[in-house]
Amino acid sequence: MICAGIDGGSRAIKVVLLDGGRGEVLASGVRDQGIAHDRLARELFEELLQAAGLARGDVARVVATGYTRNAITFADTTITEITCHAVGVRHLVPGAATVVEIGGQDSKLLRLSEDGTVRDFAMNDRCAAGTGRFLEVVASRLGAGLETLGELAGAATSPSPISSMCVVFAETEIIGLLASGVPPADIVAGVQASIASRVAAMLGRDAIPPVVFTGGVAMIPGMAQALGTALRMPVTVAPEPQMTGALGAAILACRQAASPGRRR
Amino acid sequence: MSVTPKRITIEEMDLLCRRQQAAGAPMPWYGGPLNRHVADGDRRLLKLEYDASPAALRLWNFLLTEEDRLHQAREAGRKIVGTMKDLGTVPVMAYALPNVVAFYPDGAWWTPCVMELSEGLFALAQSLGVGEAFCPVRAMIGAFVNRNHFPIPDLLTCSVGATCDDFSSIAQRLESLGFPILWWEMPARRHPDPDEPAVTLPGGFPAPASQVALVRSEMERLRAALENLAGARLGDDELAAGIREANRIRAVLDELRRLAYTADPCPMPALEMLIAEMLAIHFCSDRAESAAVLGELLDEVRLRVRQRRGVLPEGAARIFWVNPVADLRMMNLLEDCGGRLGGTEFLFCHALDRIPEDLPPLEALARMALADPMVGPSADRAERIVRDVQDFGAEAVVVSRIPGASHCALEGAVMGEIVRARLGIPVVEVEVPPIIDPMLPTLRTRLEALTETVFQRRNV
Amino acid sequence: MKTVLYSSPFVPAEWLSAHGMRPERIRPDPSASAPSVGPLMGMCPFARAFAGDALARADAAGVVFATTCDQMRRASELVAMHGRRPVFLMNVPATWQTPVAARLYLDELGRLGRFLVRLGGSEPSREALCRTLEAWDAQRERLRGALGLLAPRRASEAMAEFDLDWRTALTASGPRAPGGTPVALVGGPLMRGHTQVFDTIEQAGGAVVLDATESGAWTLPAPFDRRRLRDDPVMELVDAYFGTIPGVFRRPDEALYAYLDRELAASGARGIVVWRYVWCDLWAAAVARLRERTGLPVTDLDVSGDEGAFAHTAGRIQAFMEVLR
Repeated sequence: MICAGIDGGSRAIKVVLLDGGRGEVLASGVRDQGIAHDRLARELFEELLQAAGLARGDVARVVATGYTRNAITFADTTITEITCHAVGVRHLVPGAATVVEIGGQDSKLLRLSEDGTVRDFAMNDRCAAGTGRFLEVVASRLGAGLETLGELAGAATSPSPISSMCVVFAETEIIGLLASGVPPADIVAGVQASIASRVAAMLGRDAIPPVVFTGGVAMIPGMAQALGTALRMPVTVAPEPQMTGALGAAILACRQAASPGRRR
Repeated sequence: MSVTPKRITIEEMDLLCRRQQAAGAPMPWYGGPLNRHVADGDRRLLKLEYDASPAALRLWNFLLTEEDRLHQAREAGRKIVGTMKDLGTVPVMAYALPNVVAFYPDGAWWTPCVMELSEGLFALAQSLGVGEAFCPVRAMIGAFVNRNHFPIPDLLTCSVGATCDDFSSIAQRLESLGFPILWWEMPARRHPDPDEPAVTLPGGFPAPASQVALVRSEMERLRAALENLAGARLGDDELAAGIREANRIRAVLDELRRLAYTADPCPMPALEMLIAEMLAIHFCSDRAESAAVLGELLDEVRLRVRQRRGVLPEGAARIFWVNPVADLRMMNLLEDCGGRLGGTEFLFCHALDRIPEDLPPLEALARMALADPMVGPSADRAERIVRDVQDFGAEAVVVSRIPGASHCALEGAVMGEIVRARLGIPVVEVEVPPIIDPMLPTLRTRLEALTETVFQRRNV
Repeated sequence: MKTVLYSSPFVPAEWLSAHGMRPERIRPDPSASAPSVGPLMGMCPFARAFAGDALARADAAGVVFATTCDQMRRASELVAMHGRRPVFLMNVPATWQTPVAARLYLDELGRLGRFLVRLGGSEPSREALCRTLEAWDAQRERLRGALGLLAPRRASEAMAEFDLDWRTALTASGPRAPGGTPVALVGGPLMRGHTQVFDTIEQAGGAVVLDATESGAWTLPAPFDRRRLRDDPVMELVDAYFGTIPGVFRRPDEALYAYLDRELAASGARGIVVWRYVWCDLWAAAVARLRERTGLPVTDLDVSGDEGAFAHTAGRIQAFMEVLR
């Protein structure tokens, strides 16, 4: 049985086509998000179908997740990204107990039960200081790409603490630090530490290992280490962290298609 | 009139009203179509969904005509007491007097939301130095200054001490604007030391007898002030009678909550239940009528339970809701996301517990006042929530944060930790602004994620 | 001797001392406010830092909080839940105008005393209590004398040194700094390192002529009436602490503004710098009252507590000084 998961995030759309019977990902893709959420998702979906040699009718069920999930009209149902990331991560990292997902504009913390279901969760979607947005601001100020930030942070000798709670004021602080000669590497490392500490604050005392880090920000080198330092425990980056939400949605779609009574 | 239980729009509610009128069904003097309140400025009503019943129509009209009642009371020469912060104690005393009406001016915090910020109460408060860093109760300052809502009370009382800082600051600001306040001390409730005489309060918390004695002495001061205002004696007999009347209403609410939060399918929507519970605090300025309104609502719920009819699909996720919300639409959203109320703690559970009738009245009232969840440790509040969650069979907890309220951040952290550890159920904190419309997607995601989690746990 | 930590001026240090404890009124370290202490959003930075220090101080036998603000009341619960030392929450009444309030404060002193005994202290004899109170009173008198001769920053530091060790040698080292535009610094307590604000004001052309922060000398109790002290030392302690220290939390708060009216006039301050922490509602509401009541220009520093925030604070102070000039 083939199913699809669509993660319509605020910054990127991710789609996974999954063969539920064999547990094999047939195709996956990422595209930048835009205003026409439904059209963009549909285009990517159809591209992937073509690449996999499939037709729409071959797909038993489509589940949409993410910020724009309700705008994706061709989905059979929607499930929140909390549930989907939990399922996706657990599939890739059996035994994961805590999931940290940091995206472009939000961060989520999931505590999983032994059976892999979500036991509890917390979200920060009101403040950019604990999200990838902060890194984008830094990259812009340094004239660097997001993908090179990790390398920069790796060269840090003395991470510069960033104190501002607000990303806007933090940007001003960063300008000041650059002007006073603080190496960009130290600034980047400081920003990573700042994001990690805010995420750790959300978790409080409830981080139970193994901790798995997922979401787009997990792909940036140095972030996992910063998070591990803030949590004071090892952190594992999920394989293909940007895709765990879509993967989880696809898995749930297969489960729902196999058991029509469990579509809730 | 028999109506299929469901949630309906304001237009459908007004249609129900017209049918009721056409059928010659009795309607209270304050009854009528809800749209007339929209014309008065309560524009939020257009976005809400209501329970399709004459009982709910009566409840809404009763709530939305409170200011009219207060003005009528003033015109009729009755004395008006504005009782602030303590939720549920001083009004019991006030209503034991003839010709005295009591209400909570801090209840004006709903007004900006109900009027969709059109009235400018927040802007007025901001201009007086009380801005959005304070909780929505700051609307009260605007209401006092522009005098467009309730009549200025003849007496203002306010409990302080173990209260939240923003409320204390807001009330003090009010006094500085020329509205004298009778301040009374509420000690920070604590557990008794081993060698201290102790008392068990309504609701089950222990407290030192010395703290009860202190509150009792403050109640004496309040009694004297009320007597002076009313020009009438407020003796123990009168207080005892007032307590009995309050307890009658609390008994109705007790049964209403039990049925509404446990029966499946859910017999009454969350929004109407929030408003019904609020009636416990000061009877919406008419004690006798509030009893009648709640009685009719209870009759409707009993009928639906007997007939196994509800407003929501069977099996909705039972969510225990902590803290009130400024935007009533949040209660609709809970149900839109697959949830239903499975218990509540709207910051005044002590006003729902029975006041002891086997004690001298002021002693009973003092114990009740000290049982206020805000007055004691957050851990106590969490223990009460744990007990009630188990009692109602709730499957998850939402702690609704009130923007600007000084107690919410820390209280939420403590309560969440304890409830999770004791019950192993999900606890989610949600900040609910006065108007949730811009935040709908994110709030929806949180509530949907919570109900998904509940359903997954059931399937395991 | 066992150490007991506290921060509120309404906790009488000599009471702790008389029970055999070493009182330490701390200005917490802003960097001690680790994320694990409590939520970032909504928690006062001072409360967070004090709780962080209280959790970290393995050498402290106990911690005393006061109910003078809701943030500290709640922070005491966090420390009690997660710390490994006993916590005492002293119920300082918000009302003051009835005998009930003073009675409550008196009872709380008694309860605090029993707490200290449980920590390993001992109830003092009447004579020992009198001697301790007199010694503290004398030392405070010396402190007041020294403070009047010190530059504002040094005076604040001297208060902090006294709070850490009341027997500290008090020297009026050097004259007060030459004048700048006189301003009053009014508001909440300072944390470690925050005396920098005095320098910032001076560098901007100002001079703090009245330190009415909760770390300032106005939080010292009035001198004891030595005769009444001998008659009833505990009541004299109650009168001195509860009866004379102004507080922004008190209801009604008339005494605070009466004090400020008097001291602002005496000091000649031409403007008011309000030192308040983000999420502190009590001082936030005072800003408008100060403007109305005093008629003076007021600038509001909403302080997040960490060092990086000083850049914003400095800019605001500089602009304010320019306005005053």
